Amino acid sequence: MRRTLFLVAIVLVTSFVLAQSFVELYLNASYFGRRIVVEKGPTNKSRIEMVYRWPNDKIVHVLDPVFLVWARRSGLFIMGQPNNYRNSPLEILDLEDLFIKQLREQGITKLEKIDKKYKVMVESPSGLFTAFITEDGLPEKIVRVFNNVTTELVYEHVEVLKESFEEVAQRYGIKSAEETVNLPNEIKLILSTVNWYTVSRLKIGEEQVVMIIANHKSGSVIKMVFSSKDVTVNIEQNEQLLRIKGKDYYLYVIAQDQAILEQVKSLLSKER
Amino acid sequence: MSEDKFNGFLDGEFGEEVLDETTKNDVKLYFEALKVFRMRYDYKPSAKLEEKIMHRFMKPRRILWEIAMGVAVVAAAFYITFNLVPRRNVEPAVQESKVVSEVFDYLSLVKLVGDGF
Repeated sequence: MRRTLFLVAIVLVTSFVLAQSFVELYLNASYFGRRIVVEKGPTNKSRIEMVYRWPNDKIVHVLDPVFLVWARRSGLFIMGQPNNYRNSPLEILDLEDLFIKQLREQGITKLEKIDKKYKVMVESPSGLFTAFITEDGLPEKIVRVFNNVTTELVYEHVEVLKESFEEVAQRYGIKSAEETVNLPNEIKLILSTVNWYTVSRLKIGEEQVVMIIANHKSGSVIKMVFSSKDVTVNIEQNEQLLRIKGKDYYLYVIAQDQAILEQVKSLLSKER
Repeated sequence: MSEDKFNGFLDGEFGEEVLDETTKNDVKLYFEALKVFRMRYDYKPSAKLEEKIMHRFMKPRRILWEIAMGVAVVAAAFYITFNLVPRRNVEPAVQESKVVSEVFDYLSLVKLVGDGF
C-alpha cells in the first residue's frame, strides 16, 4: 500500500514537473506561425493571420478579412498598414494572449498528455480555455467557450523564430508611431472593465452615433452611446444613465446595475 | 490759278474783270460743283423708298427683341425649376461627424483583429 502511494506520488510529481517545464517552454517560446481564427456564435467571424511571437512582444499580420498589421512592443500597441501606423489606445489581445493571461491568473485546471502534446484546460471568468501544446512548447490549437460563443485558433504551421522583433518590424515598416487613434479616455477606461464588446452605428434624430454594448467583468451588460452632439437617449425603466460631456463629444453610459454605474463614476473621477 | 484772286472774288472784294482766264474757269467749275453738291444734299427720297430703308433697319431690331424675350423666358423657367418647384433633397439627411466615424472605425477594427480583453 505504502509502495503504491509512493509510486502515485512520484508519477504526480513527475507529471507536475513535466507540465511546468512545457508551460515554461511555451511561455518563453519565440515562433512564427500561420493560423486561422474562427468564432462561432450569434455572429460568426474568421481571420487568417501570420504571427511572429516573442515572449513579450508580437507582430500579427492579418491577411483576411482586412489587410492589417498590429504589434505589441513593451506593452504598447501599434496598428495600421505599412507606413501608416498609429498607436492603439486599447490593448489588442488575440485568443492566445487571453489564454496566457488566464493561465497565469487561474493556473491549469486540467492537464492531459496525448501522444507528444499536452491538452491544457483553464477555467476562468472569461470562459473555458482548452489549448493543445507540443512537448517543445509550441502551440497547435486554442479553443475558448464563453456564453455560447466558441472561438477556435488553429495553427496550420508553426516554426521556431530566430529573427528579432526589430528585424521583422523593419520588414513591415513598423516604427514607433507618432499619432495615436482618437479615442475618448472615458471609453478606454470603461472598456478596460469589460470582457468583450460589440459596436454599431445608430441614428438618434438626425445624428449618427456609435453604440457600444459590452459585457462587464461582473457579468452585467453596460452600454455606451457616443455622439458629437447632445442627443436624447431613451433608457429602459430598470436602467441608469450617466451623461458625460467631453471636449467635442458626448458619452452616455447606460447600466442596469446601479453598483456598476457607481464603479464607472468612481473610475472616471480617479482619472480626472 | 491765283488763289488770292479766287478767294477775293468769292469774298466780293473785286469783280470778275480782274480775274484772268484760268481763274475764271476755276470759278466756273467751283460753281458747277457747288450746284451738284447742293442738288445732292437737298435730295429727299420718296415715301416708298424711305419706308423700304426704315424696314431694313427695323427687322434686325425685331430679331434682337425676340432673342431677348427668349433668354428671359429660359431664365424664368430655370428660376422656377430650381427655386419654386419642390425637389427631392439629395444631401444625406444624417451627418456623421469625423470624431464619431473615427471611433466607430477604430473600435470595429480592434473588435475584428482582437478576441476580447
